[in-house]
Amino acid sequence: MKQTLTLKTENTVGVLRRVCGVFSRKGYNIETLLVEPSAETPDFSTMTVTLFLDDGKTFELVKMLKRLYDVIEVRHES
Amino acid sequence: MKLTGADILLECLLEQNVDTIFGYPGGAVLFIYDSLYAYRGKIRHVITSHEQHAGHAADGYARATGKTGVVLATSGPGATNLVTALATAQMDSVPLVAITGNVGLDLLGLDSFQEVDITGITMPVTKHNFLIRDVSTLADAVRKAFFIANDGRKGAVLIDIPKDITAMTAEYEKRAPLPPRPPAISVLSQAVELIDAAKRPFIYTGGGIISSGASEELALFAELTDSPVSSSLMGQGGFNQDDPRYIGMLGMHGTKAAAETVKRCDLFIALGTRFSDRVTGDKSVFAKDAKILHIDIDEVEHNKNVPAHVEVQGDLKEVLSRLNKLVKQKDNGDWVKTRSGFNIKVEQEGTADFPVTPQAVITELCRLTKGEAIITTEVGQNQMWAAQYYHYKEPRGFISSGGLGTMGFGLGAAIGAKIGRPEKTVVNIAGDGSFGMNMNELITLSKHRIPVIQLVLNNSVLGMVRQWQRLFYDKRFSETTLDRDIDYVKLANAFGITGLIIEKREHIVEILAKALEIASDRPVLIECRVDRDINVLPMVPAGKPIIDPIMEIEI
Repeated sequence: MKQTLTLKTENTVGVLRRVCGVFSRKGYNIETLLVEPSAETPDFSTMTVTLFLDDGKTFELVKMLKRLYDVIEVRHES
Repeated sequence: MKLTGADILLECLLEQNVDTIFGYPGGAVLFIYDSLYAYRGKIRHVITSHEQHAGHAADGYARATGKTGVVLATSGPGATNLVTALATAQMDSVPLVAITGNVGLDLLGLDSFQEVDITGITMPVTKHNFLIRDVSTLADAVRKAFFIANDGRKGAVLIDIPKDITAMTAEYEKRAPLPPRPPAISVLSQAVELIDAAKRPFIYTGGGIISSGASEELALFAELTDSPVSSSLMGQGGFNQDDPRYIGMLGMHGTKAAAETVKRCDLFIALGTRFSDRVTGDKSVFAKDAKILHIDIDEVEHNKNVPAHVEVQGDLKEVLSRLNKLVKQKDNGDWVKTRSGFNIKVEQEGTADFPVTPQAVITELCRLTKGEAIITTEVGQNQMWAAQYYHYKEPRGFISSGGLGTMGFGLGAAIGAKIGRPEKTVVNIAGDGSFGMNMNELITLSKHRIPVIQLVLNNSVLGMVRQWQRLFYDKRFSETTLDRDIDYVKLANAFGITGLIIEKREHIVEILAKALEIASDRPVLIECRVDRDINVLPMVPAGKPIIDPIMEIEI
């Protein structure tokens, strides 16, 4: 099913690569991706990712993304 | 005060109480090595023969001491040579900080000489990495690297520093190491309920016991829950293996007793472990009749390989000490007694040509060193025999590449372990295949006079692969028959190292004793010639239920 993940990350070089690395490592294809400076401060980015994945795997994916030190927060809507 | 980037780096290492690093010089780290020259009274640098083994040495140092290992290498090939060492440490959750030089900022991204995108390359095999683009951020990056390497589940971190950054200056002020984050701990009430209700609990421990230093808490927990205890390869020594509760290793080459206990227990308590495929075999039948309580510091491991009934996130030492106050003393009747008997192992006789068996040599080594040596291993049969036949009493006594399975890991790791804990006897148990991958490190042993015992179990084949070819590939021993006819004694002598040979059963004790004596102050190599068709048993074929191991293999 379609999942939407919203990540708050550091706004630095290489963060997108690190985040995408988690998706590709697990073999999950990203459907849409939007990266923009966070509304609160330009030090952070907001990444909005959608993909098709079951809830269990998405739950695990969220935990893996949270483990990254550049990722400050992950929100998940299905 | 204003310092150069190179000096800031070394000052930051001193902040973290680093007194020993491993590495190899090169163009991009010239300024760092120049500073090391000035800091040589405070930081010992050990040069190896190859950056990979410097990485393994830093890893072995970390595993033996519990401190963070540090390795330094130059850009390009120096950095890529660290990749295997980083992946090895990361897979086994070992705190390792790698520092690499890179070309200057203006040369980055231009395919310059000895330039490589090492942060890109190492992203999947580190917890985090840094590319320093501004000297004023260097100090905090180093502090953060040490924090991250030890935060939660430990692992590898890389800091890539362009050459000109190490020459630029910035303001430096000494700081204390960042305080560790208090680990998140879940509520324990459900775990306590499961434990109190269990009639046949079984404790299975992983490497987490060792990295969190929870051996004492584990010993008490085993008493309170009246459970038998087994361990993964990584957990060896986390629980005293001479304790009657210990029923041997679990997994592909684990004991039948441990496998049967998985089937018969009603509560499987997994402590600091990730249910590797090498342990579970066929996951669909693993501990099917038991409830599973999974305690691990990394929540990603919960329900990843095996679903748990109750999962607890937290540092094991903290979780176990809390559980020990909450659970009632159990008496499970003769449950533990009926589980013992793992000592009945498959004994294998040597042949007429090769009367000595690896099992006999390791058993004798264990007796002579009272189970108190640090054993490092390579990967393959040597590793499994070292796990099966040496009885580890203490944590950090068994150092082995469990997750990545890195052949060539052991000798570097032994160097690091011996430098970290010079009072310990350190033996690297190797096969001749693995030794072919790291024999250049005899130079390091000799040059720095590091008293490691290099024990080469020479069967002239890649024994573990041969064993699989025998069982599953119709005995077509494709490319695994090495027969290199190396004179290992001469090889050792060429490096100024004493070489000994064990060929006859009656020489085992004598030669081992002699080697132990030599190793009181200098390195020594023992070649032990063994038959090529000795197999590691028991053996559960990959993906098969662990309850039904192969106990005998026809040659």
